[in-house]
Amino acid sequence: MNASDSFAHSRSTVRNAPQVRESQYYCKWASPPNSIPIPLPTRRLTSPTPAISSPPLRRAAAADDPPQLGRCRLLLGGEPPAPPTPAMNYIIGAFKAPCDVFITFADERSRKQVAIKKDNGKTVMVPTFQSLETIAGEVSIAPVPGKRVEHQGVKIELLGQIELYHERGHFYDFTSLVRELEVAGEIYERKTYPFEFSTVEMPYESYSGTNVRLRYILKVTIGRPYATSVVECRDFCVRNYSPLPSINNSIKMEVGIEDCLHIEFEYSKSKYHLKDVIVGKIYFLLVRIKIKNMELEIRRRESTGSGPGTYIETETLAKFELMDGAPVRGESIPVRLFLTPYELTPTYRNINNKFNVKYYLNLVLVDEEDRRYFKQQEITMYRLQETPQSS
Amino acid sequence: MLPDGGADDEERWLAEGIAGVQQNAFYMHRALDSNNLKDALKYSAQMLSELRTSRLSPHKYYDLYMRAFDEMRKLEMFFREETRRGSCSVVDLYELVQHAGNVLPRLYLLCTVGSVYIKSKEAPAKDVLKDLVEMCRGIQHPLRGLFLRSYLSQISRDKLPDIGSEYEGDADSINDAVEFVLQNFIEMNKLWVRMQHQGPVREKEKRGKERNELRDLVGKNLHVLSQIEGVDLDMYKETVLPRILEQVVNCKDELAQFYLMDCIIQVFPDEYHLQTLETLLSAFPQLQPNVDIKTVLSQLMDRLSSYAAASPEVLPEFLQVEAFAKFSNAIGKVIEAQVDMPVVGAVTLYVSLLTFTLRVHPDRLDYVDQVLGACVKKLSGNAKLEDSRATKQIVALLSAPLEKYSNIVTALELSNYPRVMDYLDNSTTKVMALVIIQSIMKNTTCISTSDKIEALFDLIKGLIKDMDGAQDDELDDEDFKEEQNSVARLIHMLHNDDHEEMLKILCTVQKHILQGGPKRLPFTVPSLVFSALKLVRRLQGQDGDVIGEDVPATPKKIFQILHQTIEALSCVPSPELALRLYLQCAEDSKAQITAIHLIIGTLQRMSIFGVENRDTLTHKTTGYSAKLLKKPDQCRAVYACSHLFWTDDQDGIMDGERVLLCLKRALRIANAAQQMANVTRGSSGSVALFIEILNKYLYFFEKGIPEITNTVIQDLIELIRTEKQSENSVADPSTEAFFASTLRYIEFQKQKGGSIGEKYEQIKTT
Repeated sequence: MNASDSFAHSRSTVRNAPQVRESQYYCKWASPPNSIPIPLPTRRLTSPTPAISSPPLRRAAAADDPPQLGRCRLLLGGEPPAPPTPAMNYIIGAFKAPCDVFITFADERSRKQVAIKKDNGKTVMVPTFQSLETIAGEVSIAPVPGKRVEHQGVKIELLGQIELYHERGHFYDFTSLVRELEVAGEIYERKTYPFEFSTVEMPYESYSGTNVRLRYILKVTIGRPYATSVVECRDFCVRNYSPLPSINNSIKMEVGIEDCLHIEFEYSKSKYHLKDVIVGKIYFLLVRIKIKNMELEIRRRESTGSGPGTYIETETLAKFELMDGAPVRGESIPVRLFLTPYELTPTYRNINNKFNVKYYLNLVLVDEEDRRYFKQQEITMYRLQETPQSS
Repeated sequence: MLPDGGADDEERWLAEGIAGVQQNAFYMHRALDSNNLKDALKYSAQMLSELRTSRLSPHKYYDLYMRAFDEMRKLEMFFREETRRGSCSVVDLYELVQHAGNVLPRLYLLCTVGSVYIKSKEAPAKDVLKDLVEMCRGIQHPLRGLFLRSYLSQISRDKLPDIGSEYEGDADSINDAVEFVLQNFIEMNKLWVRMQHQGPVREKEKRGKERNELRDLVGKNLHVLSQIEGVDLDMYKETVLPRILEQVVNCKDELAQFYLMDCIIQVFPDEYHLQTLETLLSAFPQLQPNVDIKTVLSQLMDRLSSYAAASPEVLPEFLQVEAFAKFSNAIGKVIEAQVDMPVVGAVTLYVSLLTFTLRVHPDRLDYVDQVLGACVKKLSGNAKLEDSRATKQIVALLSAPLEKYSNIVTALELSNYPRVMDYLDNSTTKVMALVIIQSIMKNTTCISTSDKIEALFDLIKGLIKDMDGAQDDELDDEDFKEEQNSVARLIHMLHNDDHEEMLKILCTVQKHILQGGPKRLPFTVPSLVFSALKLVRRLQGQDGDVIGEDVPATPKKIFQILHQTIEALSCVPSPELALRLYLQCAEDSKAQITAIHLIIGTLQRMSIFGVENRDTLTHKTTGYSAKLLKKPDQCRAVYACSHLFWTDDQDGIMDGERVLLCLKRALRIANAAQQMANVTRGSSGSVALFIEILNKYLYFFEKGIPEITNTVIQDLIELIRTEKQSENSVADPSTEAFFASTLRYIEFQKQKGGSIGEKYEQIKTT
């Protein structure tokens, strides 16, 4: 990939903007505490010392969100649950569910937990799985003391859903597995049912983007004859790992504006895992404009739908200043951008014909009159299996 | 973009910056106290963001930088503590600080952690350093980049993997240390140079000034290099110097080239310079045409010559590396390369080279001559020098050998010496001549061959005679006197024990000073006269030893010379002086007689004196004549004086009374001599005196002086007869003969008849 190309070029609306006192770039320490623990550095100068994740940050994360077990109140009515209002509270009170339902995973304590954002804005910790794992556990139903629950059968479903926000309330289930737990009857006292979905195929990862969400849930339904069914859901997260790509070419390109600016940039790879480091350099072949600075952006382009109803949302996840001041011909500026601080996902291509998530590196040069010259290159993100030695 | 703002605005910006630093430093301290790494990083990055300003001049920026720097020391200590405690590994820390979004704070933090990283020895120092120096390329803004890299240099100084350092790695780690410093130096220099070319043209001068304030940041790297133990001569020769020079030459910036060359010369040891002279010098001709090379090169030569002076044992090395030839060559090339260099520059270079040569190779006169020769070559394009500074330098150039050898004789051997002088204007030539004379005086150098004196007088000809084409411009009288007095003093310094040679010397001097013209002679002649008299005295001291016919140096000859010389004064309106000289000449008894005779002879024929002057002169002459040591001499002188009062010229003096007075006085003296002779019985000849006086009487008698009568002559003849008889001693045949012939003469005149014969008639000879 060594082609000559030209810059995209835009003029910022703000000219002579006042000097920014605060750091204008996204920085890990400046952002609110994040649930992703500081991972181990993947690229460093020296080899052997096993690195430990940074305890202060981890503590902070833990304090904010104590891991929750999948305990919920039983809800009446369908999904998604409406935000609670005083009227609803009354209704909930009136139609108080006759029993509590708990869904637990068999290896919940030992399994890795990740934070996901619930609809109500809260983040909860959920266990993670990957494709072809067996998902097993127990459902326990405890009737409100002194009551019995009459039902038309209890079932548990494993659902993989895609939700496009533009089509609110519409879910595409791309995976749906069902296990009957109980035939119709009555439950008098607390009762526990084991369940197991063995080697479930879960090709897509959980994802929560701007316009689309992909999630996996376990859904227990207690069908009742004269009332709405009792439904209890439990989210879990799916993360699929990719092997190291066999081919990983560097990205190298010469771009420029004729007689004005010519640069050559090179990123060492085109495919990066989520905790990778982007290493490269920018080489200035010709500089006739007064450059103020240069930055590297990581942008996520999420496209949903298809055909005329396609929505494209681009989000800048990272803005990283590479250079300060005006270089001259012959200068080469190093690039080293750690991806850890940013919340990236793997690249998703054509997920169930519903959406795509792609990542781009955008190199931006800003001149003294705040004109921006940029060149965008797609990179492929993947999730690398974390093995002990990789840490 | 620097808005047009006065110093007030800048003060305000600085104050804002400082406030920002202080505020963030406050929060940072709080975070440090509570071991909150995350906040510490956040606030330190914010603090460092204050350094991103473009609005401060270097001076003010430095102020701000120093404040941040102090805070960074605390942060570094915290990092060290943090890693020591194990709460965060240094490797993690090294990554963590790189998450900062802004490049400048990020790199300051990276350097800080890098320092801790090296100290922890978890990675070889060289790797960390290499990474740091590479990453710092992110700052291309000259001012910010310079300070960042200076920070890097500061924190890494004690952590270089130098030989003997605790951070020394494998065998080659010294290379890495050097490489690191070199690279940082090169990058800093590039930034520094670039500064000149950025920004509006009208502020160019201001930028030059600002850059000057920053130069030490760049130069410090060279200092660090010189401090590295492992940089031995080989490494310096093979790596360090060529790399530095490459950068210096390629940056094509006057300010940088001048400063850095100077810096190289200052920071590295002289021994290295000596061994790498060729490389170092080869850079000079490649510098920009306006670089003040002469100063730098002079520095180098000064240093090396001091080095040679301080440790004489290294002198063979100077020879071995052919230091002189290399310098000489380089200077030639520099002058060739810098066509616009004013003459003064070139001459200054030669002065330095000459100083170097004199100090290092004092025995190599040919080198000195070569330098002068090269200088002549350079000057040959121009006619005479008009630039006063250049002239000054030439004077310095010419004075240097004099000072060194403290012996003008050496300088006289330099064939190019007078050629250089030819390029001086007249007044400077004089100044130079004075310098030469002063040197001779100071060192009491004796110049002892006439050849050398010839050369010397050629050098100082500006003082000796009027120069061609030079109008006698307003020359200060005082100065002129001063000059001529110097020349006079110089003449005294010419001496040779060999009389013959000394005579030659005198001749040469005479030849030259006689060209001096009326104004100079009164000053110069006396010296020559005295000098000559000295020789006479010496000759007399050894009287009798070698007085042969073929001896060339005889008092007589000398007096002839003297006579000629003093006669030259006769055309000068300073009779007294001439007289005094004559008298001075007459001081030796034997010589005096001759002198007095000469004086008398001269005076008699001189007619230019006024009556009064002449009167004084004759009076004095007579007085001196009477004061001669020996009576017979007195007598002879006095009767000779009588001629002064009687001249044959038309309007000459004819004072018979005084003639008679003289003769009578002579008689009195003769009488006294006779009495003395009687007492001592030693010598005879007094009678001869009487006879001589008689002859004079006869002379004037013939001239017809009324006061001289035949009675007087008759008395005298009688007196002689009596004396002859009373004389107990054996009659001297020659006296007898003399008397007889005198008498015969009288008889002869009688027989001849005529007016004179009549006069004589009265005188009886028997």
